[in-house]
Amino acid sequence: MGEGDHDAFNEVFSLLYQRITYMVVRLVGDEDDAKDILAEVFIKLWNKRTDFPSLSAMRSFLYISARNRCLDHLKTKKRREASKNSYAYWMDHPEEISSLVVNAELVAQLEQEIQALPAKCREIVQLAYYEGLSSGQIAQRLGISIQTVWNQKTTAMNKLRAAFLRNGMPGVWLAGYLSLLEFLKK
Amino acid sequence: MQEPFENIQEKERAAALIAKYLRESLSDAEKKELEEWIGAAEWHRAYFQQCIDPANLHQVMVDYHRAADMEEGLRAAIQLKMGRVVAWKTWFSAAAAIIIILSTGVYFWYRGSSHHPGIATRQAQSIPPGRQGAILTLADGRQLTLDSLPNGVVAEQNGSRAAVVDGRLAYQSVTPAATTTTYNTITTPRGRQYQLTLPDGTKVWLNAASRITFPTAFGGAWRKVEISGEAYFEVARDAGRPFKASAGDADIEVLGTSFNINAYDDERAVKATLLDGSVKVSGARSGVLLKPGQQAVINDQLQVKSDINIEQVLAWKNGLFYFNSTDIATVMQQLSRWYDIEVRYEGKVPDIKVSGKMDKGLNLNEILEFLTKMEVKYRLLGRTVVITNN
Repeated sequence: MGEGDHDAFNEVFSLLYQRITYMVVRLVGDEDDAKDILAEVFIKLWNKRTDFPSLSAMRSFLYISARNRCLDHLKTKKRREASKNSYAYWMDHPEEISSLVVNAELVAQLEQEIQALPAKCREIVQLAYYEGLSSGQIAQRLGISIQTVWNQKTTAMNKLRAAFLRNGMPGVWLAGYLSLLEFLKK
Repeated sequence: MQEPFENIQEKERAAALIAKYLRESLSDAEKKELEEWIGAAEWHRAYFQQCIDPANLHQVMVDYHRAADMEEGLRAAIQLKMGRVVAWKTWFSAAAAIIIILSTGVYFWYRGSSHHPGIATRQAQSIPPGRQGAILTLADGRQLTLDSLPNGVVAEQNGSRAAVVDGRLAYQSVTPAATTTTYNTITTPRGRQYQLTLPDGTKVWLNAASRITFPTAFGGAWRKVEISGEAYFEVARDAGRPFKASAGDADIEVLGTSFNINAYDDERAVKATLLDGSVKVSGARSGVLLKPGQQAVINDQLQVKSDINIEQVLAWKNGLFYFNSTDIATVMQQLSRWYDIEVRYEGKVPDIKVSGKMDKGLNLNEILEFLTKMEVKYRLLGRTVVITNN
C-alpha cells in the first residue's frame, strides 16, 4: 500500500474490518467501546501503511494490536473479576482469544459461498439463517409473496449445493454445516 | 502454557483446514496437517469439536454477521478521529465538496458585501440563470454539494452506494441492506435543478427550491419518498412494491409510470400530472385514479382536470419556461426560483397574462426584456426585481 493510497486502504478496510470487529466486540462486550478501539487500530494501520509487505502482515498487525488495545482497555475498566468481558477472565483464558481469531477466519471462508449468491437470494438466506425469520416473516419483511420466498430458497439451496460440490463432496458439510439448508426448508 | 497469540498465520491455516474438513475436500496431506494441529494443544481439540457442531457454528456465524452492522459507524468514527486527515476516497470527495461549500459561501458573502455601485449595477444586469446542482444530506447529517463533483462514489451507507455519474447522482445497493433504514435528502436551492436515480432505478428530476427524502435502500412493502417543491418521476416498474410519493396531504401511489408533482409551499395547491401508466392520488379526504394526460389538483378538495398540456407541465425539466396566458405573479415566482431573486410589487399586482417559451439558459436581463414587450414594468435593485404599475 503506497503513500496516500486511499483506495488501497479502503479495500483493506472492507476486506478485514468484519473479522477484527467480530473479535473486538467479543473481547470487550460493548459495541461503543469496540468502535473506539477499532477506529484507533485502523488509524494506526493507516499511519504505518508503508511498513507492510503484504495483506497477511496487515491482518496480523490488526489482530495483534486490536487484542492488545482490548486488554489495555479492560485493565483500566476493572470489571467484576467473574465477568466474561474482564481483563482477569481473558488473562486466564488466552486460548479463547486465539479461538476467536480462528472463528473469524473460518467464517470469513465459509461466508464466501453465501456472498456469491445473487442479491435477492442472499438477502433471503441471510434473513432466514442469521435472523432466524420464517418464510412468512420474510415475505412480510420484504413485501413479497411467500411463494416468491420459497422459490428463492429453492434457488439458493441449489446454488449452495452446487458450490459445495465444486469445493468438494457434500458430507459433513451438507449434513451438519450451517444447518443452513434446514433453515432454508422452513 | 501461554498461547502464542501472535502467530496469526497459524490460526488462519487452521481455519482453512477446518473449512476444507467441513466441505470434505481435504487432501491426505492436509488431513494429516489438521490432525497434527488438533493434537498440538488441548484447546485445539475442544475447539475442533465445537466447530463441527452445527448449533455452535451457527452462533459464531450469527455473531460474525452482526459485526457487519458496525461498518458504517466504524467508518464514521475513524473519520472523526482522523480529523482533517481524510483517508477514504469517498471521504476525499466529501471533503472536496465541503471545500466547495465553504468557497462558494465566501464568494457569495464577498459579492453580497460589495458596496461599489458600479460593480453592483453591472452584476445585477447580468444575473446568470440557474444550473445543475443540489445539496445531499446523508443519514449522519453530513451535507455534500453536488454541483461540481467529479464522477465517483460520494457515500456508502447501509449497503447502498451513491455515486455521481455525469453530473447526476445514482444509488445502487452493493450489499444486502441492514435491517435499519437510513434516509438521504436531496435539496435544490433556488437556481439549481438536479437529476438522480433512486436505489430501485426510479429516475427523479428535481426542480429548483425542491426537496426529496428517500431511503438509501427500499425495504418493506412500499417504496416511499417524500417531496416538496416540484419533481418529475419515471418510476421503475416493480409490481410487488408500489411506489408512493407524499407531498403534504397528497399521496401518489403508482406501480410504474411517469408523473410530475408540483407541491411548492408557496403555491395554493398540489398538482399531480400523469404522463403514462396509472396512479392513485389521495388528498386528505378522498382519492382518485388518474388517466394519462390528467392532472389532480389537491387543496381543500381534490379536482381532476383533463386535456392538460404536458409539454407545459414538463417544460422546466426540458430547460424551458413555458407560459400560456400565465398571470404575472406565477411567472415571477418561477423566475425567482431559477434566478434566485426576490420579487416585490409596488402597488397591486398588474393584471398581465404572459404567453411564450423561453430558454432557461438565458440571463435574467434577457428574460426581463422579453417581459417588457408584454408591458411589464420593473426596476432591478441588486437581486430584487420590483414590478411597478407605471
